Amino acid sequence: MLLVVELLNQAAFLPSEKQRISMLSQVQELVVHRQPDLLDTFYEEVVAFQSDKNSDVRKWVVGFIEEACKKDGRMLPLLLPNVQLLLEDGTVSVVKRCVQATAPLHKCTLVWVTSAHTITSDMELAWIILTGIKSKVTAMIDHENDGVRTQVIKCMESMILVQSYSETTSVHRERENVPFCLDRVPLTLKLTRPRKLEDEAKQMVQKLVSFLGSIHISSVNLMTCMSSLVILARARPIFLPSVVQSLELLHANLPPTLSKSQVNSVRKHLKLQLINLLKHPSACDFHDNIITVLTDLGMSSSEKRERAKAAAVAKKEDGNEGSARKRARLSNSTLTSNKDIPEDHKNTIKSKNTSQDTPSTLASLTKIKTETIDSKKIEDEGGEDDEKEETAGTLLDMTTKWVLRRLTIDNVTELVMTSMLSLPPTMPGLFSAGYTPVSGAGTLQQKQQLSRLLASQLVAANVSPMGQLPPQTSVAPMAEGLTEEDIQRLGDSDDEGPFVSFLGSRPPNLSAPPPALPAPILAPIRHKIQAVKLSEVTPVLSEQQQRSLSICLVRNLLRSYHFNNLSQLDKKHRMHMIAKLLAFSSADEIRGVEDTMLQDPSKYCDLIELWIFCVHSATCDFSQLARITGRSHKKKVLTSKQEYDDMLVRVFDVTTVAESNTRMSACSLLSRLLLSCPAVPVTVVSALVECAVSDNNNSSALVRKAILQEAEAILLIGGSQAESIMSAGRRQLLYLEQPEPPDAMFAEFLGRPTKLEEWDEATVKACLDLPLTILPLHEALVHDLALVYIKTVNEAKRGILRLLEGPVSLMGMDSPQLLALVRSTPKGSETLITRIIHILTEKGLAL
Amino acid sequence: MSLDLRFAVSCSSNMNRSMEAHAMLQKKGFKVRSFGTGDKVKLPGPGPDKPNCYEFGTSYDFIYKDLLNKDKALYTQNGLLHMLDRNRRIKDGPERFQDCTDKFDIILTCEEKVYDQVLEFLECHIPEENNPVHIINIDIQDNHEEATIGAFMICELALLLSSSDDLDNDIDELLHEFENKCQRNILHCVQFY
Repeated sequence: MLLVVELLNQAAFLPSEKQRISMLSQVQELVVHRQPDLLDTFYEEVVAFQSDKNSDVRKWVVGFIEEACKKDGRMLPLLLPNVQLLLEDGTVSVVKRCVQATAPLHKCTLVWVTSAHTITSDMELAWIILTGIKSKVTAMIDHENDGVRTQVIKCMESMILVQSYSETTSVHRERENVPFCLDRVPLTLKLTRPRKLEDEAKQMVQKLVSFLGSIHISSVNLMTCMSSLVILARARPIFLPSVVQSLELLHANLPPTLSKSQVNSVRKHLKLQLINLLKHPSACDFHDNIITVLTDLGMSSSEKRERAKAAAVAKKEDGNEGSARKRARLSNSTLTSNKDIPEDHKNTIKSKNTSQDTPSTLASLTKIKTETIDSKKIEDEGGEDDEKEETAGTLLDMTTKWVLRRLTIDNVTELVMTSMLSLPPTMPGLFSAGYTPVSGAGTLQQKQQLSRLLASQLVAANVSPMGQLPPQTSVAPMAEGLTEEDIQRLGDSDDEGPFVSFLGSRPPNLSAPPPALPAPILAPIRHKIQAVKLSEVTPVLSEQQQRSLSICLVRNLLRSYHFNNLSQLDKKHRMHMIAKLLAFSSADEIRGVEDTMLQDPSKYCDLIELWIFCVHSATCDFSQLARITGRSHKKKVLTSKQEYDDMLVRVFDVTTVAESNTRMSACSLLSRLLLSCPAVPVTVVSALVECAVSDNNNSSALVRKAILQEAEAILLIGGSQAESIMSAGRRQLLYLEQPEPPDAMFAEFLGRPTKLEEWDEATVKACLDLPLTILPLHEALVHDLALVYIKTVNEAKRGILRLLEGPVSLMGMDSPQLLALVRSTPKGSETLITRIIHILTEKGLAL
Repeated sequence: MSLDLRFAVSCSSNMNRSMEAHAMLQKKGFKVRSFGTGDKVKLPGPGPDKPNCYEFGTSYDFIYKDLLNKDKALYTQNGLLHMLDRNRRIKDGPERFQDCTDKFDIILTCEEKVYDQVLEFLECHIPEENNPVHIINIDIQDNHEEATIGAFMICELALLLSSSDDLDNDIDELLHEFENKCQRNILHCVQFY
């Protein structure tokens, strides 16, 4: 006892996890195996290590719990909560260890509860916790980690074995004759009814079966699940039908996500598992199906012969079952005729086409049906002999017979020709990979198989000539019939999968395509879906379609642009998306969207600005996007300078003619755009310069200011734009020569709706603003100014003298144009010259 | 985690391919054991129909001396003696996989038949703790050159696998990566101890 205390103390302070674990393992050896009476005293101390930082130590704790509970059932109620807690651990390896421990703990609990005479409250508690753990573990089959899922499958396998009854033909893997299972659980167990446990086990099997059929199952999970199901089927033959069926389905529809070598591994594994199943005495009912799959998987004929002999012997022995006897007879007869096991295959191209459940095929089949419907009755009467044998035959059986009788050369040819139309232009990769030619084509066996397959399609589409399927009543017989039918159908075709992927190429006018798989249970239906490969069913959109879709997207984004519940970041992302998409679409395409934005420019102010920048960067090929969006855009990028200009013109047009109520915001937008936009086109410049004479006192002041700044900037750059600015400046200056303000100065958008008869201070200033702003950059204008000064009215003269100070001081004393003007001094301009000299010689400037 | 992985390499006679890989993995510091899965240890003899057969359990040293006595020139020339000499430096004698009770994390096989035999053996095995073991097959021809190339591949695969923190989760991707790199088809399966 002291030693245990000592070891525990040491373990608590050891820095390395390996040392800690070795100490703890010693403790475990002492308290669990050497002196189990100490377990009660020390378990809490040991389990306290479950909060250790190191995951290996935590894993070890799970192992300890497992050992302790195996040793002493009374530990279960005390330790199970810890397992439940550790199941939530953040480290995957710990979770895996917990799932791993769940199986033995589950068994321990059931053994403990069963062996007790009376059920104590402790047992009830343990059972409740265990049920919780169980459901948690079962739910983990969808865990994101592959390894966890693998462990869950194994755990479920063990739990199912414990929660089901053994059968006479059960094959046990364990050495002891009959491992613990429901047989040993008394029917009178108070905690839970064995029947309930058995049902639970069945549900778990179903869950495993559907997991096996899930679309994106990984190869490791797939193989684990296969092995588990086969172990279950061997140990509990009651599950044999569903397991065989699921394996056949799997064979027909391997998950599309598997790589080539994974497919090889899985097929190999499947073969091994099926051979294991084949050895099972209860599997003789399924021999034909299993051997069909095995043939596809490449089983050699000598092996087959061997198996067939064994099967025949098993069937003879199994003389009690009528159905088995019948099958054996059939099998034997074919054996004598073929000297080989029947290879019930229909894998010629012909039968492939027929097996394909395209609507056109079906349509043609129904056509044949109507054509021959009259002769049907007679034939049916004639063929009643064989039907008598199976009076209780399902609708499917009857339809099968009906189809079989009609599989004449003419009909088949027509079916082939019709279905040819729905073949894709190129052979899908999956098909060529999975296709194996078969030797048994054309035999009676193969025809039977084929007709059963077609019949199942007819029944499923409710177009069977033998009558319709009652909606509710025949679900049970259907289930039974179709299960078998499925097995056959899938058994004979490993290349069924690719055809399903043709679903995407179905002509859209056919309203009700028949379900691919008529099986009423859930899992196979999922199977069918799984073969649809995204890349194959997704048609490549034409450029036109892509464009129109992206415009739709932009429209939707724009519509939701002003939703209040969008976060700032979200809004920003949306804005970028819209702007970029717009920038890469042509003007025609985005007209609608553009109109929406420009109707209320203030609302979309940021967006418009961003859009302009995107277009500009695309134009100049700055944008990385332009490079990755492909060839079609490249061409566009080169030609889009014009588009950029057009677009800006449109934007400016809208903003300048805005209504008075939105005028303020439009103006602020305009000024903002003017100042921020990367390049203003000439047309815009020349149009805008006219606005420089607008009224200074209202909303357009902002614009005016912006225009003046822009004009200044353009002059600094020079070029053709500068020319237009200079001439506009001169023109506006010359307005002052007229006796009254010209008409050009009066317009709604200039802020002066009514015409004035005389010059006033504001109008004079408006005319002078642009010339005087550009004067320091375009000094020759000073001569024009002097001439205008001579001719103009007094109001204007005063204005000129007042506003002259800024520009002249900027020009400076050395300006040659000023000097020339002073030297020439045109008559009448003396006051102006004096003012200029005064400004230039003022104290502050005299430097 | 990484260096804790327990590797097993198996070929049919535990002579050439598995031993070459064993030597290389051991040098790299992996925990590795090597096995054969055949019924007997078979070595080429004087003619194609006259192989030298030994029981598993016979030591390499014994086989070496035996061959030396039989035909020194022949077995020196075909490299058998050299191979045996290397083998006896690594371990005592060939071991049969089916007789081994140790548990591994990864079993690498050098031939599909060996892979099948390993699987068959593990299928019959009754799992106690449900610890997963990955069985991976890389086809390697049974000659000296291919064995060396194969050993390099196995070593690379071992390094790749041991780089993972959560092997059960990553193995599919790692194998896919490896397969693309070495351009060989591999088989993979998981069993439980």
